[in-house]
Amino acid sequence: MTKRLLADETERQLFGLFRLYRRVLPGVLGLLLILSGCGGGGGGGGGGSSSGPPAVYANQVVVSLLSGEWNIPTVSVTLCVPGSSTCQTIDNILLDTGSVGLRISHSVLTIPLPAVTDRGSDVYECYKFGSGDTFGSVSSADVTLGSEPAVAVDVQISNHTLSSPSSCSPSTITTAGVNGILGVGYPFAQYDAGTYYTCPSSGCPSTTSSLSCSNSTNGSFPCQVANPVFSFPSDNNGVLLAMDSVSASGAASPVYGVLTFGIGTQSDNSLSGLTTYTVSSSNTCGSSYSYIDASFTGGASGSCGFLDSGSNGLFFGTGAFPLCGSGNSWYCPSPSPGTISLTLTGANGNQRSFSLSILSENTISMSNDIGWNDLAGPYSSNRTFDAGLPFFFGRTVAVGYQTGGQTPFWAF
Amino acid sequence: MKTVIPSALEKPQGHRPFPPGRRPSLLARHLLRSLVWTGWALILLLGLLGSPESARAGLGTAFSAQEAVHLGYSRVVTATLPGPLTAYTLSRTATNPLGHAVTERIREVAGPDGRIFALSWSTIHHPDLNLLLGKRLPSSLPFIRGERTLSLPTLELRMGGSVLHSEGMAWDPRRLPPGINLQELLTLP
Repeated sequence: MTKRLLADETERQLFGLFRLYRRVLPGVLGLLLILSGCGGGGGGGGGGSSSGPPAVYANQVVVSLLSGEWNIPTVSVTLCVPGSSTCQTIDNILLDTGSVGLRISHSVLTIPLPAVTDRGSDVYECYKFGSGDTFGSVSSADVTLGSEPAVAVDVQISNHTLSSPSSCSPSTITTAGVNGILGVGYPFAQYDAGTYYTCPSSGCPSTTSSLSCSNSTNGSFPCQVANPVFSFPSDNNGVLLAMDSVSASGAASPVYGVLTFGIGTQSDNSLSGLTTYTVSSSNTCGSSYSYIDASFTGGASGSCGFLDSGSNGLFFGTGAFPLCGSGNSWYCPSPSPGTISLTLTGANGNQRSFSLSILSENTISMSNDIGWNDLAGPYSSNRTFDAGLPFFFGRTVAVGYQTGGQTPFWAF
Repeated sequence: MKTVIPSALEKPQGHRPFPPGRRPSLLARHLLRSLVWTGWALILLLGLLGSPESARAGLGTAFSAQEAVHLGYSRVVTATLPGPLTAYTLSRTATNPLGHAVTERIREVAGPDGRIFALSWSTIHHPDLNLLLGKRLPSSLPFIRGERTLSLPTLELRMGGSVLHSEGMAWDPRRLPPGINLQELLTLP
């Protein structure tokens, strides 16, 4: 069973234990013998933080990888009933530079956030990620991120147990202990442009609704789930995500990063040292998908790429390396690690090439480490490179929003 | 729970028994019986035509122009491939949430029996998977970012992408003709 976010946890753990027993026990015994002879040694993987979470400024929040999983960056978010002191802080919110808006699982929400309504009916949303959907009602909330001022935004209360329209295929976002998703990035817009429905008590219609909402924090229009960062009084034109470096052999828990709000608005959010890769409709990748050009091992000509901290691996090609088994969704290069090349080119012509190491998932699954910069799997086509969290380790990645005349960009 | 999608096919109501003491004539009873049987036949016919299975498009069914309409696609290009296989490429121009015109495509490949055994898509949002995959798709899926791989006896599914571009492919492993190159068959133009 592969370790993605997430399949059957119990089955995965049992399978992992079996593999651990079968394949690692002799090595562990040998390692213990060596360590006993050497007088001890460092802890596992390396690269992870051992000195606690980093200190942060007012426009920053700590990012920490979820324990027990691979490459799941999370933050804490505080929600309040609008205009009140009835608040709840929720941990383990997936930090996602590949989506827009805050989504909270209904199962962890304990405060009565008011529903957004349209002509007497509650507003529901199906938000479609490439790999699946979240479905649920829309509520308004005062949201606080770090020490930034609280901002009023509409959020989705995801609930996969609700009956949803046929075109929606919802899944639970609480898998693996994730309590929600904070989308602060792609496609660079304030509102999430999801698929919205007004649902009277008789049920949601099969067609989408044109909304004219009340109770929405965004007034009568567009009453959509929004990226809270856009609503900050300043520090609202983008974010920077700086993740710890991790070694090629993995990093043990804890692994931290820092999310900084704003670009060029404070002394701590300059783009100095970073190169911008703009997204523009002047080329096919930009106009069709808001991606940048990408050339990579196993990719077709004219391929595109995007950066997504919510993807826990690098996903590219349809057969760049052998899969780790039938039905397994990770690459197992042989010999391991394998190497690929990746060249990313912005619409502004800025270009950079990378040589990326890909480690066999068979090796990764034998470890308890949680941070991996070399975890990769195939994509649905050979025309797109999904640069997930492995790409982020050891570098600062900025997401510049489409706001105030700013051309959207990634910078790294 | 507030959101309930009404079933497309309501259960037929049982016919009401006659009130006691008011027996109709033999002819009337014969006519009534005929009417009842005709009614049941009509209900059955409508049920077959309107059942989720026959209305469903995609895997396991024969392609029809109606399917393209159901999916909201206006253009269909048909190609005959060795096997003999038949590929149907549906396309349309849609506007993505950022206001850009995007060509969306769905490709379905049918075997010698005319039934679709594999399909792929490149669209803004993924197409209606309940329609294309029918009961093969589990009712609840774990949340996954990145690429989803689902391997079941009647369905292999790969789907991923972003919130503006969904790419995926699905096939019924039991129906794959021998010797085919699935990736090649499902490659979209």
